[in-house]
Amino acid sequence: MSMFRVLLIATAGLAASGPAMAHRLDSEALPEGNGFRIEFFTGDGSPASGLVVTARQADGEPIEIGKTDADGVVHFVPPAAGEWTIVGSGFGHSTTRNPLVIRSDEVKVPADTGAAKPQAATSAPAPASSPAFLRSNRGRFPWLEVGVSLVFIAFLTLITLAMMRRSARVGGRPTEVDRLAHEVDHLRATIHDLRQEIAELKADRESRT
Amino acid sequence: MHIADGILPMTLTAGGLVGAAAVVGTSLRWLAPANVPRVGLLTAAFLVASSIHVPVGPVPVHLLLHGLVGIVLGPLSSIAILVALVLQAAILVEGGISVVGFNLLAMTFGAMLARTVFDVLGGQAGPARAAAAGFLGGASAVCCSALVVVFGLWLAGDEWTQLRYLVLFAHLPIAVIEGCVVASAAVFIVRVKPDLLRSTWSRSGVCPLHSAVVHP
Repeated sequence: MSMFRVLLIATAGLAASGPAMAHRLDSEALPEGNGFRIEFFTGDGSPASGLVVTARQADGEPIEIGKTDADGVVHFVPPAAGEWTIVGSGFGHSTTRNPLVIRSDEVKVPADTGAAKPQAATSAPAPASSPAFLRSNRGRFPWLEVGVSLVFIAFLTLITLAMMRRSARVGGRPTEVDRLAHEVDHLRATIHDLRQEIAELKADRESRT
Repeated sequence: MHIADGILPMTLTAGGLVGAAAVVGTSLRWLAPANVPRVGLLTAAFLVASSIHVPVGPVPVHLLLHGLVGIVLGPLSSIAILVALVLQAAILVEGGISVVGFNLLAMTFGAMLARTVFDVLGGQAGPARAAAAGFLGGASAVCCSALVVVFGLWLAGDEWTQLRYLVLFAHLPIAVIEGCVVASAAVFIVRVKPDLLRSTWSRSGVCPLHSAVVHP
């Protein structure tokens, strides 16, 4: 098994140079002065810097708070009272599915919001590059999304199973261990036959005497 | 090559679990006791490779090695990948339990493609062929698994556009690196113990241990 040990060590060494997965992004907020200290971090706890953070109220346009610093932190002073949904995104990651919701009554909201008002976002719409039929019909015809997803999964499963069967057929030639095991089986059968023969001979001799 | 919880639509998540159950169930039918240590070893290699992270931007990145798993384990790959993905989700907080089905399908698809490419190119014939077939197998495994993930993100909606591009382009260099790793491993195995690539996976349970235990 030393061969595998060498492989494992070599692999672990080379692993340090490889890119790229989709990991969890999370956030939490702490009241700080008139506003909040919002921290973004990845699944392993390291800070997520350089994320663009936006805040919006239920019926309002999203406003851009700013970018997270090296510690993954951004500061936010709510310009109006009520509930705010905070989303951070960047580098292909986003907390859209697990947004942070904060309430302005947890801090003292300044009466004059002019000084603390964050910059308003100039352009809000996200790039629309997902399938056109999903974009236009999402919500109205969920069965279309369901159908495409199921066909995709079924295709993936079937092609994987086909390759597994092929590989089992091609690679299933007997190994050295199999040959030895077969030889052992054969020897066991021979020993068994010989023992039976000896027993018969002994019985024959006893019957003669 | 794993997607975290909460990104994929419910259909892909649930469908992935059903598809993964079919694939793992089929693999288990081929699993003979003699092959269990080999599966465990490759699971460990897969897990170790994916647990070493290097931060790039806001996210850590790592190598995959599922091409090597596919070439050595063949139809048993999905068992090793399942165990490793569950451990990754539970210990390393990567991927997720609910999306383990989709992630498993993406990874096993790549692993089996690597094995198929390796077999078609005759990688078992000698070191030179093993190097070429191992490189192409390892690289194609990464590329095709990445394409599966990208397609899943495409179905997930517009908010993952950047992630799709990141997954697609970040895996081009990793495909080359992984191809080199798999090629060197394949050459080593072909030189030292070629039998490792020609295991017997019999549905009838005909294996040395089975014959020794059941028919002593």
